[in-house]
Amino acid sequence: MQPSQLDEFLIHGRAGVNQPREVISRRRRRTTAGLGALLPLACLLAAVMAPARVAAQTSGGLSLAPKDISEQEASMAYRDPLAPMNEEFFKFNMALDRWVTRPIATGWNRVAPTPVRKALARFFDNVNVIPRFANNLFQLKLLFASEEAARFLINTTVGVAGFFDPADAWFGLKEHPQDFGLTLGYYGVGMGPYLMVPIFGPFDLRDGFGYVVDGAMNPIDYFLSIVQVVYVFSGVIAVRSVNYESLHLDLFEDADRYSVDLYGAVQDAYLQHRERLLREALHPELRHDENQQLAPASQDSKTSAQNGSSLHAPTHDTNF
Amino acid sequence: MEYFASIFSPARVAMRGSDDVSPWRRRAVSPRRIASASAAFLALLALLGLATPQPARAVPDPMAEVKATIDQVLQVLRNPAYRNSPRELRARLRTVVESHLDFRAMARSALGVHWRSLPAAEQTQFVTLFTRLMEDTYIGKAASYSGETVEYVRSFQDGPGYAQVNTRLMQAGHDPISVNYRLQLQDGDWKVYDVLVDGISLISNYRTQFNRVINRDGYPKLVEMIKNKVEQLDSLQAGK
Repeated sequence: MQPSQLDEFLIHGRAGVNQPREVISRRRRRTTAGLGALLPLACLLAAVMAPARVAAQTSGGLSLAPKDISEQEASMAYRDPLAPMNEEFFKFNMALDRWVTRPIATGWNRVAPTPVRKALARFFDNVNVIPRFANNLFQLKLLFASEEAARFLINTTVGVAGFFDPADAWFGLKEHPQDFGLTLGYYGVGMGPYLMVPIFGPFDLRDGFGYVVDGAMNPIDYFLSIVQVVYVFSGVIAVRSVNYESLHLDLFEDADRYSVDLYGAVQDAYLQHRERLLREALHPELRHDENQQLAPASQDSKTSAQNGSSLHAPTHDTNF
Repeated sequence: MEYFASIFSPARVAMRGSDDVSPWRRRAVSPRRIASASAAFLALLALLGLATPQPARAVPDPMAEVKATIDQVLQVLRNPAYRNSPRELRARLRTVVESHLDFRAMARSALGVHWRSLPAAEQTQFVTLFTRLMEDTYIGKAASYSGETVEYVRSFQDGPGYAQVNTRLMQAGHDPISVNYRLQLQDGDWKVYDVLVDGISLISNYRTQFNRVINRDGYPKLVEMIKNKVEQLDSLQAGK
């Protein structure tokens, strides 16, 4: 097996999409032989989830194609049938942010230097390895899952409990963000209605459910009572979100300052963000595209054509 | 003249108006039609007694265009003369940026389906208002400039006349922010019609906001809200 084929299978979770059928089966057989122990689990998951995935592909689950405005509007209206309730919770969350989170975050921003706050963010990130590992596995991204495991081992030891990220800095092992909401989306589950959850902020139904599942994966659940778990989680979430906001104060201020309708701005930013993450879960090479310097500009039209997917979808209808 | 040139040369047909010489467009002109057209053309040339082939206009590189504009913007921002005079800074930035942004396309796209239901005069008014909002936004952002640099990652074209240029805003002590420009070719120039900050489309974001306001309170309310926002930002920037 050529390394590129193996990589393709490991990264995409599926071998050559455009290949003739017999090539695929031959590749699959060889990959199975090569991967040995890891594959039974993967095959089981694939067998369980494959029908849903096929359905998603045939119904155009991937939304890279240019969208008509009316279609966009229709999907948006569908996404927010709970607007009246969401708006009330949004007001509550804004008040909470204004009177509690923002002042504390601003104070924390003044007290703690940026490197300290970044290290704390990395620590939380490192602790949260299990959902990333598990969901990469669920999506059959075995290479990514193993890299997450390696990152955790390196950063927990050499990186002093995850406060530093030598796995990236020294070994070039990048994080592969994943969560259960993305796994569901990967296998064709739609977003469902938009939800504004008190304290926790914006979600859609699928990703909110995924968030709960990811939380349940945390091993702390099995060592403590429910009450203790709630205490620990709320503490962790409070510290994490204050720290996050302290690192992104300008972002929060800009949203306030430049938006005409803040609720709509937050909703759209959240949904675009999730759609982008899902796109990258379906096509990991897009993430690569975005973050890394590839070929020189003159060859770029060729490389993007080879990706086979239209990255650039004009968002407006020119026939108005 | 251009009409004759275009029937004469099938490649020219494809060149006209777009940089993408797509095969299907080339095939649209049959060899027989070319033959008869070129015969007619040659006859015409012979008649007129002149043969001056029009040089095909080269389509500029989208990344080079974006870079040139951003370089100019950075030059203005780094110029200490404008530091304490927001009005001059604004005027200067406007002249630099104006010809490279398609405010009309942005405004139209931000209104989405509602654009079509507006009479032409109101559309024009809305474009003016939206332009002010966009100017206030980028001038407000520019005013907080503190030595950031721009890294040009890559550019690619998708379909005829559309391109995206991916850049990164590098800030000392912070993670880089990806800023991607979407451009449309218009009369041989690339014009920005959307900006994606960290993957989030600015125009889509406005569209969601505007759509909500219009559906809830109607278009006049939206105009009022944008006016208020613009005034608020103006006074904020004047106070600086």
